[in-house]
Amino acid sequence: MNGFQFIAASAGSEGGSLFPLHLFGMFLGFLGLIFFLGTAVGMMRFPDFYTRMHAAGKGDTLSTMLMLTGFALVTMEDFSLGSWLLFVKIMGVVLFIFLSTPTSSHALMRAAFEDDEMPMTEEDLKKSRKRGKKK
Amino acid sequence: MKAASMVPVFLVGFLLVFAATDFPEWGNPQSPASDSPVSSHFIGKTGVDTEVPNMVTAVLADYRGFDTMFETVVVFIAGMAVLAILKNSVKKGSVRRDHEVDAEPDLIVTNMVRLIVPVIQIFAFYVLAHGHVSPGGGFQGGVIMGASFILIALSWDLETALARFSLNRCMGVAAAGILIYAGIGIFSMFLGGEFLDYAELERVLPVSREMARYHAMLGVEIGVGCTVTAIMFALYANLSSEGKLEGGL
Amino acid sequence: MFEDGAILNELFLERLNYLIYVVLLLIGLYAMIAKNNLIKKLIGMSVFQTAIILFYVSIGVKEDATIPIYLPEHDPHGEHAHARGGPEALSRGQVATYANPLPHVLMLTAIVVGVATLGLALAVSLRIYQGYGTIEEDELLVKLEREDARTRKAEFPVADSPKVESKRKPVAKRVSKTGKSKK
Repeated sequence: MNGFQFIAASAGSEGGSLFPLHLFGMFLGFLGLIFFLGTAVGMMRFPDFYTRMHAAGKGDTLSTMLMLTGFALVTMEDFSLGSWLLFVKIMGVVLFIFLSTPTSSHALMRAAFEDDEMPMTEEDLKKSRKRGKKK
Repeated sequence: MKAASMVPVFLVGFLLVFAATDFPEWGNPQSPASDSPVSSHFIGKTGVDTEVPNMVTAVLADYRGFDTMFETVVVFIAGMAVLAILKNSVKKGSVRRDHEVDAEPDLIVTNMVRLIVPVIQIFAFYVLAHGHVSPGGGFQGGVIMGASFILIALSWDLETALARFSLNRCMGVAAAGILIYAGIGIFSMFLGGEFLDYAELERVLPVSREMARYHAMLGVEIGVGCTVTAIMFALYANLSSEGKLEGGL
Repeated sequence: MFEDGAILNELFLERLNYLIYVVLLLIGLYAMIAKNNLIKKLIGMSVFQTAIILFYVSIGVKEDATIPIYLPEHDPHGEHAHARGGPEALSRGQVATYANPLPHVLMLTAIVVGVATLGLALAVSLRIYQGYGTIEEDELLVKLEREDARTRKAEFPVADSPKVESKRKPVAKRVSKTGKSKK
């Protein structure tokens, strides 16, 4: 069963009124994956520690939140008490990720700053480019 | 040396891969692990015997209670051994290393930890107490509880965490956890059963035999949770400061 | 058994999970044997342990089965059972719908005990670092060798001389001296 069949099956099994919710959840999930890809590319491509942490901190937080929200919407099968409970639990996870992930990246940044790791300036960038050209 | 070490590694690998062809396939319901009498006994009878819906908890704390008790003792002994090895191994206020950064506790981090630690601790209690009907139990709850103290030590410094949960109290709580566990076992012995035969507790609890096992399991899990909490924090406090019990990370 | 790729088929299609655990286990084993750094050896031990934990958990997997927590309609003490009158063990068909709890239980305790033993091992290597200033195994062996030689020299100061008697005399002297000093 591939993804599209799954989408079709899960959409077909529910009532017609719930279809947009499912679709919106899936959309959020895919959006989260795209941001995750951006995070990974940023971690690989950015030149120094601070810019890499910038990519990791921001992209990771947003993509995880988006994916979890999408998950909460997809699991919202009917609007019964049980599914509302699950929804609230997942939103609680989202809240704590929203609070804790930026804090942890801030702590990492500060630790690097205390350790006299200097941010890369434009001159450094030019130098490294020159070196790259010479090679 | 490195090339020579590849020989036993590949020998073991070859033997294991050769043996793997005899193992059951992924998820095969006819495999020995899934179709044995033990498995069907645990799945079929756990609910009748103990009134605990979570079979993992029931098997952990009741059927294999003896095993779990001594696993807890192993955790306790490991904590004691770390304490014995590292205590007074370095003089207090001796030479600072390069990696020790002298920094004030960060405002953002400490405030966030203030906000999050109570939630973590409540969640630890939830995991511990809800282990009978959902995934969870003493080990998991204890680890989460210990992590909350480690978080305090990480974001302020070790003294702040030790002021809340000193090392003496730590070892006291760890020992109390094992005493709770063994005490429940011995108490059921006094009531006429065997060691860790929780069903006998029905004579003092106003419930049925099955429900007595349920409540005794909760008590046992609380004991495990106490020990694991204390030992996790003691391990961190000793390892991060080489037994000095001072300073930040 | 070895004909027309049957074994490859068995290994790579039906038992791929075991192959992954074997590879993980070998990585851990190699790190434990070949690495000089004690911390790297401990990392190898943890990888080894993880392979075994994964192996046990995958043993517990059962097709068309759910986690070993009773669904409300199967719980022998739940409301449904009371409606039927009294608790009764699950039928064979119902048993087939739950995974075996035993591997999960074993690994649950194994993980926590693994953490405790890892903490102990880290403490021991920390102490070794305090004592010898290194955690590289080859350097450690050299230092231990040197220390052994030194203690041997202290106990048998003329160990190089061929006579056996001369070896013993100083020892006796030393012992008597220490005895005196104690008094």
